[in-house]
Amino acid sequence: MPLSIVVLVKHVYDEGQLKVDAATGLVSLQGVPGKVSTFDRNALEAALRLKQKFGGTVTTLTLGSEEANKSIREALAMGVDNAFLVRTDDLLKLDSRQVVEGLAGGLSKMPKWDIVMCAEGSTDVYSSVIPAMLAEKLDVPYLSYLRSIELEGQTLKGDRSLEKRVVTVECELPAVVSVVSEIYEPRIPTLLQIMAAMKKQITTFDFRDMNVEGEARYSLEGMFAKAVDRKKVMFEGSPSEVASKLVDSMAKEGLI
Amino acid sequence: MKSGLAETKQLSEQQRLIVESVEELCSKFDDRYWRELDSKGSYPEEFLKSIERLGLAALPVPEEYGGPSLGLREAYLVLENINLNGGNSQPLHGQYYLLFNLTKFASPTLKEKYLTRLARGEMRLQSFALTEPDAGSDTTRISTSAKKKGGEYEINGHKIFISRVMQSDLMLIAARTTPYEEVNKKTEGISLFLVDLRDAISKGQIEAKQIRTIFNSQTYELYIRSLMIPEENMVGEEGRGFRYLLDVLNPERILISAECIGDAKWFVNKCVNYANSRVVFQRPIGVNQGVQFPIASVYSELVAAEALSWQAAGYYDEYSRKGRIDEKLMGAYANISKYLAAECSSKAANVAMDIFGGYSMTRDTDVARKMIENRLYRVAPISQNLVLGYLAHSVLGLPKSY
Ligand SMILES: Cc1cc2nc3c(=O)[nH]c(=O)nc-3n(C[C@H](O)[C@H](O)[C@H](O)COP(=O)(O)OP(=O)(O)OC[C@H]3O[C@@H](n4cnc5c(N)ncnc54)[C@H](O)[C@@H]3O)c2cc1C
Repeated sequence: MPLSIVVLVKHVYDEGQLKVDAATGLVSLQGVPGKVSTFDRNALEAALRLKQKFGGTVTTLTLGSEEANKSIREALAMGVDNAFLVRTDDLLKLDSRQVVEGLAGGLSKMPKWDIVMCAEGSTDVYSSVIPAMLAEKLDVPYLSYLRSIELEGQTLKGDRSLEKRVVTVECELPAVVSVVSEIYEPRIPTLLQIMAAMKKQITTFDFRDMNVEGEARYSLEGMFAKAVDRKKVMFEGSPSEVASKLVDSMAKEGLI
Repeated sequence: MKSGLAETKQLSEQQRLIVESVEELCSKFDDRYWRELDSKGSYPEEFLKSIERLGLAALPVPEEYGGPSLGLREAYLVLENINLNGGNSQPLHGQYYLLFNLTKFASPTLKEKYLTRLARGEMRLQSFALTEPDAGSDTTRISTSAKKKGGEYEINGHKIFISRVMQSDLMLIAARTTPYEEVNKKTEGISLFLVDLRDAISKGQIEAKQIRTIFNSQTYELYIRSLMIPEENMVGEEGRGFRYLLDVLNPERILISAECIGDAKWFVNKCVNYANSRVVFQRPIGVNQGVQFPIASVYSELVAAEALSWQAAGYYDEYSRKGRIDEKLMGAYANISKYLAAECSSKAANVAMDIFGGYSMTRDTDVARKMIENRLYRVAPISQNLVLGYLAHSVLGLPKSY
C-alpha cells in the first residue's frame, strides 16, 4: 500500500542573523529574514527516501504566516508533492497546546496519513515538545529521536539516539516520528525540481477555523541574549607541553 | 544570501530557490577545495559533476530538448553566487554562452544531435576557439581556414589561449571559409563549427599544448591539421559566423559582469570580516577611516555596477524572447556592465590586498588567488580598452579606433 507521509515544516527567524542590542541584551527580530528550520530538511529527506522506497506521497504541514510559503516552496523543490499551511500571523503568541491543536486541526482536513514526520526540534526555540504532544492529541504512538528508519508492512522500526546508548524501537502505523539531523543529509533541489515546485499548489486554512479553544497559558515576554563569558586560558611552553596541558585542563573541566 | 551584504536585486521566488541551491552546493565545496585545486592546477571536476547533477549546466537548453529553458538572469545568478562563495565559475560561463549560441543559431539537426545530451549533463560544451597568435583583439583577422571537401569541411590553423580543450567534449571553432583578402566587409567570411573534441584529438587532427598561466586555468595552444568536420556541424549559415558571435558577445559580457560582481562581493565580505576582527594598536583596524572608506567606496560602486548589469540581463531576457532587441542599446548595456563590473572587482581585489596586509600574500587567506583569477576579466574575453573603444565609436559617435 502506498505510504502517505506528512512532514511538519516550520518557517523560523534565521538565527544566524539575529541582532542583539548591546545595552539591553534584547534580541530584535526587526528585519531578520526567515528561513526553513534547518532540521526540518533532514526530516524531509527521511520522508522522501521512504517515499522512494515504498511509493506514495509526501505532504507538508506548516503553521505560520503567509511568509512561511518561502520555506514551503523550498520543501516542494526538494520533491514534496503537496503542501498545506494553517495560517496565523500570531505564531509567537501561541502556546504549545494551541500550536498542537492548530496542527491537529490541519491534519484532520488533509488526506489520510500514515506517518507524521518531525525534526528533533526547531532551530529557533528548540523545545522539542510538539511531536510528543501531537502524538498524544492524535492518540497514536510516538517514536522520538530516530537516527534510522525502516518499515516492514505496517511496522515502523528505528534506532533511537539517547545520550549514551542507542535503543531500537518499533510501533504500528499510524505514528508520529521525530528524526535527528544526522539521519540523512538533505538533498539539494535540482533546477527542474525547482521549476516543478513553482507549479505546485499550497492549500491554506485559517487558524481561526481550527477550533482551538481557550487562551494561551503562557506568553513570550521578551527574548534576551545570554552572555557567555569565555575563560581565555593561555598555555605556554613547547608544543608537546602545551598539548598535554590543554588535555589536562579539558579533562578537569569535564569536557573530555 | 550567505554573505552579510543585503540582496539589492528583486528576485522572483524561483530565482531565490536557484540561489539557495547554488549556495548550498557551494557550502560543500569550500575555500579549501578551491585552494587545493589551485595549488595542483586542476580542473574543478567534482564541483562540475555536482553542477551537472543539479541540472545547472543545462540551464539555457530549451524545453523541447529536455532543458529548463531559463534565461540570462538565472545564468547570471548561478555564476555570481559561485564566485561570491569563493569558487570560480569559468567553466560554466563557457558552457552558458555557447549554449545560448547553439540554441539561437544551430540547425534543428545539430540541436537534435547534441542539445538533448547536453541537457542531460552527459556532455560538456565548454570550449570556444577564436583567438589566434596573430589575431588577438582584432578577431576578424583570424586566418584559420575551413575548406569544403564533399560533405565535409577541412580546417587548418593555429589557435592560442583556448580554454578547457581537454576537459570539454565539444568545442565551437571560428574559421574563415573566405579569406580576409577576398571579402567586402572584414566581418564576412567567418563560419562557426561544432567540433567533437575527443574524436579530433584521438585522430591527431588537433594537437593541444597546455599554456602555463599564473592562476588555475586549463588553457591550450592548438595546432589544427586537416580537421574534418561534417557539413551538418556548421552552426548557422556559411560566412555569417561573426554576426552570430556578436550576438552572443552581449550575453557573454553580462555573464562576465555577474562573475565580477560575485568576486567583488567576496572581496568586500572578506574585507569587512577582517577589518572587524584584526586588532592592531589594540583596536580593530576597521575603526580607521583609511581602512573603512576604501571598502565603503568600492561597495557603493559594486551596488551601482550590479544594478546596471542586472538590468542589462533583464533587458536581454525580455526582448530576445519577444525578438525585438535594440542591438545598439543592448551593446551599450552589455559593454558598460562588463566595464564597470571588471573595474570595480579589480578595485575590490586591491582593497582586499591592502587591508589584509602581509596576510594577503599568504595562500590561506585566498585573497591573492581570487585577485589573480579576477584579473583575467580586465583582458579576456575582451579588454577594457576595446570596450571603451566600442562605446566611444558605436554609442558616442567618435571616430573608430579599431
Ligand atoms: C586564461 C585565458 C583564457 C582564455 N580563453 C580563451 C578561449 O577560451 N577562447 C578564446 O578564443 N580566447 C581565449 N583567451 C584569449 C583572450 O580572449 C585574449 O587574450 C583577449 O581577447 C586579448 O587578446 P590578446 O591577448 O591577443 O591581446 P592584444 O589584442 O594583443 O592586446 C594587448 C593590449 O593592447 C590593447 N589594445 C589592442 N588593440 C587596441 C586598440 N585598438 N585600442 C586600444 N587598445 C588596444 C589591449 O587592450 C591590450 O591591453 C583567453 C585568454 C586567457 C589569458
